[in-house]
Amino acid sequence: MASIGRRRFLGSASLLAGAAAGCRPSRDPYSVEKPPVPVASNLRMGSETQVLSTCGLCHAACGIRVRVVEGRAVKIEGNPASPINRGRLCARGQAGLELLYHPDRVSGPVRRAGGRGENRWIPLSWDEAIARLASEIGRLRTVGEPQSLVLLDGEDRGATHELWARLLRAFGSPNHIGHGATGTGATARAMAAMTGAARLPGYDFGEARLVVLVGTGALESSPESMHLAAAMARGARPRLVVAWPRLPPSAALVDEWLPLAPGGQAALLLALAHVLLREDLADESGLARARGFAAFTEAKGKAQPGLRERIVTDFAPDKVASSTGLRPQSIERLARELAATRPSVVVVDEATATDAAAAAGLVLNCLLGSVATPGGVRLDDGLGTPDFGPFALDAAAERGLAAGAIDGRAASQSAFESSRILALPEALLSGKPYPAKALLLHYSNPVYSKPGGARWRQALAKVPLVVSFSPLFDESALFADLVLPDHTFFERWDVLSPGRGTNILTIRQPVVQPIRGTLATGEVILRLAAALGGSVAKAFPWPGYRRAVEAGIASLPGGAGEVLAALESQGVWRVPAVAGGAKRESGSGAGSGAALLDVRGALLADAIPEVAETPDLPFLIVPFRGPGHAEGGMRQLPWICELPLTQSDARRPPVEISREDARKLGVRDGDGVVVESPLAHVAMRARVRQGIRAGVLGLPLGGGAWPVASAGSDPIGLLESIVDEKTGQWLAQATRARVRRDA
Amino acid sequence: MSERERKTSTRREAMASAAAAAAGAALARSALAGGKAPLAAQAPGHETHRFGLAIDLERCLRCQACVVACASENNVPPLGQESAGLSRPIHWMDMLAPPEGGQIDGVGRGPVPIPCMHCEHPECVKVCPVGATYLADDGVVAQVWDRCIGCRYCMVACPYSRRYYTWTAPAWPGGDPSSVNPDVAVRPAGMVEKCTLCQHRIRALHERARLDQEPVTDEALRRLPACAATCPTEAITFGDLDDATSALSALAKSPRAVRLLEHLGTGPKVFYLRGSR
Repeated sequence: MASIGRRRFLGSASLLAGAAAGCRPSRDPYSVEKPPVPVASNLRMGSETQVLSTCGLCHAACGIRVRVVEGRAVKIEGNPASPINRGRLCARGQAGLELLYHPDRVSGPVRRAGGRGENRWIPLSWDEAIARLASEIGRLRTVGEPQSLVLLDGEDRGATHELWARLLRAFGSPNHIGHGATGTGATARAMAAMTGAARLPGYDFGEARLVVLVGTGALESSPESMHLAAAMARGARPRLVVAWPRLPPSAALVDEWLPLAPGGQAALLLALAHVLLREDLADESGLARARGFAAFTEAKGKAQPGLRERIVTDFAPDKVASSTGLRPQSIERLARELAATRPSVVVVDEATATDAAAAAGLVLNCLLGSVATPGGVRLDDGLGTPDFGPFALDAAAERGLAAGAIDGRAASQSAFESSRILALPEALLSGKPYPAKALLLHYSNPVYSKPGGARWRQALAKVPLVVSFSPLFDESALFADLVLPDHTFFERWDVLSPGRGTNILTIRQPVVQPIRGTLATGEVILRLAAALGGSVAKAFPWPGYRRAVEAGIASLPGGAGEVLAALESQGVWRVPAVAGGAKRESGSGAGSGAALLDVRGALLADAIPEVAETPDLPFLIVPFRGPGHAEGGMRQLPWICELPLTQSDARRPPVEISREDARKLGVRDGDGVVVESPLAHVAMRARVRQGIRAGVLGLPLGGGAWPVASAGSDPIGLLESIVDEKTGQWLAQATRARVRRDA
Repeated sequence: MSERERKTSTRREAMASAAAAAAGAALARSALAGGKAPLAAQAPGHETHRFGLAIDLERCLRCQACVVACASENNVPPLGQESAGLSRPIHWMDMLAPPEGGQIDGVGRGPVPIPCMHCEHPECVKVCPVGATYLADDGVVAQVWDRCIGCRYCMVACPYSRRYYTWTAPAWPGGDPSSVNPDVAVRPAGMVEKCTLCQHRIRALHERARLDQEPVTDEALRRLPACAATCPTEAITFGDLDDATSALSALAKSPRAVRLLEHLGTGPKVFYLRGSR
């Protein structure tokens, strides 16, 4: 028996595994134990296919090609046709199958049985679940309070996002709230003001000779890291300068590090602009007609000095030395290098940018002539963004929309990218400006992912109806009354526009049959609208999600049919080169650089945070996004938790501390420490580093316990919800803390 | 047969390299048929293989995609929180991290991805008391999983610590092994496992080439193992050192190329390309 096993093993491993799928493992002590692989519902013996789709684990939307054997997805590779990742994939993308086959996936729609957070549920059918939700929120409309419906939407693009926006408008709620205030909001707002469209930019790393990274996203975890990697795969190797309080694990690739003080981004960027202007190294042509660059008059009639004057008078490198923590000579040298090494580009990490920094970054790139030019910032045409056409609002909806958003964004800032998610807990708890009666959570787990987490838990308890669409039981879903689980991205059909100047559409197709009783949320929206009836139902005339998406892309060149045919065969569809029909911002033709429209946002750098000396709390926390970061984290994916470079388990992430500080505290690498902030104290392990500024604690986001742990023990609970008053943007680097050795 | 091959060629060898044998048979057949070009051969006059890797540290982003790709392709299950805390995770492709600011001798700053070195003179093979691990004639330091008795001599002998003991039986989260790759055997508890350079992919490629009567090109080999296939910056290059025209051969001759612990005389076939700045 043993020898047969051996020979079979040697001769044909695949045959053996195929057989093992059908039989129980033998008791023979010499045989290899095979796990009893569950048989997929659509099993065909020996079948093997490759399915083209799109990764859903970050915003980059890389093309993937999934190997499916006998109905089971067994390996993910990149789709070579995708210009984003060119057939390659990051660590997260590789771990995707752990999400698909995750044991904690919600098996189907459920409603709460016990108290909130007790984790006891009663299964429902999809018809029952949707009818229940429709009747609960339909009541809000009949009593004339449609505005009390609030949606937290973790997607900021795509057909499902657009359908949500449409549903809320038709329903009469102005409360479509995104996560921009803790992420890309500042960048989106700066793009909206300066280029006319709130679309995130890309960067032409392939042509740039010098790249200054303000924030480390492009080197650790962000859509930009795939763009940079794809450029390097083609042989590009720009000089990399990092201006940030800490260096990522890829520090060996960094040519120069400027250990910027926390919160000093905007000051550094404007000081670089100052040197360019002072030494006549800047190209001001793109700013000549921008509002706010020269002196201007406010709406109230008050005269204001323009941005140019402010940069020249207030942002000399020596004047901002206390904000940047850098020697003026370093800034001057970098500015001259930026001017001398064209094309050069400054990348302000979109995930950590403040409004002033995002705006100042664009102004600086414009002064370098690096907006919409080779080697510079890539603007996105926004082609392929679904357009579902106009629809009529009824009187109830008009009244609800007129009530103003619950998060306190100004009426003039009604756009999604201006939403102030961090104002929400206070609004829910105080019932002001009006009480929220229903809270929908789509791609959102605020109890885990947002600063001031305990506050969210209390706030959710105040809302009579909480509905989660999460495919996993996460912290927020445990507080929900109704869970309507979405498909994972492996089971869904969709068309996405990755944006960032890529000018492609990419398809998501079901890789396997849904392995649980889940339903795509896009489909749920359509069925919910139909159940709500009246003008809401009329706004959604499509019989299914796929038909809605087809209608949304029908206006593209070639029509939906041709686009979909290309998508199904290639996985991606390239938007044809800009022809007469396509819109473009004026002056964005190749080579000339784009003109900016309105640069007043950069004046927000007035709000350079006062570095209050707090002897009691001597450290500033700098949260960072490693490979494990996402809304809701990646801690549920064990392969990501056990990555070797985290040097410990990501389920118990370490806190990074500088060598100087560690010496003062008598802490050695790997020692247990207690980090205390005004909100919480958490026991962690110290990771003593050279690549971090003294006085700073590096805190990785996205880690923490899984399955969901008790309140307040996750390191994210340390972070305070301190926001920029003017825009609601989270000031991520403003939480103070102290550290002591764990006895 | 070269000196090296004659020394190591055994029955075991012959069985393990079914693909090569098949290729040889096909070669004989085609010679009899008297027309077709030699099959499964690369450059003219080159019928042996010595597979290896080059890792360009000037490109490596330390993103660890190779680590996860390897685990997914080769059915290396995650070990869970308890075992991870005991430093027992298995990473056929691991990250070797010097203390920050320190250097790995001759290689440079920063952590580097470290697979099995697939030595020309593997210490692990010399000590294996049951002949479970062997140097295959295509240069892969391979292992017959069934034969391993878990004595761990090889782990002690390997100067690169590239071998892992399976402390626990493989277990997938929630007990659902749906994503196992049917081409790679799942290893039980109590044995030692290691990187195989995705031997199953090498064999499948040669088998396909034989059936299609096409030569195996360097182009097809270059990104063949899971780590090289996923590397976002294409920093990992796979290839045949016996093919003088392969991309790997060129990289191995680069003045930037170094090997780990070269002075031990193990002859590693993994080349690191040092950063130039």
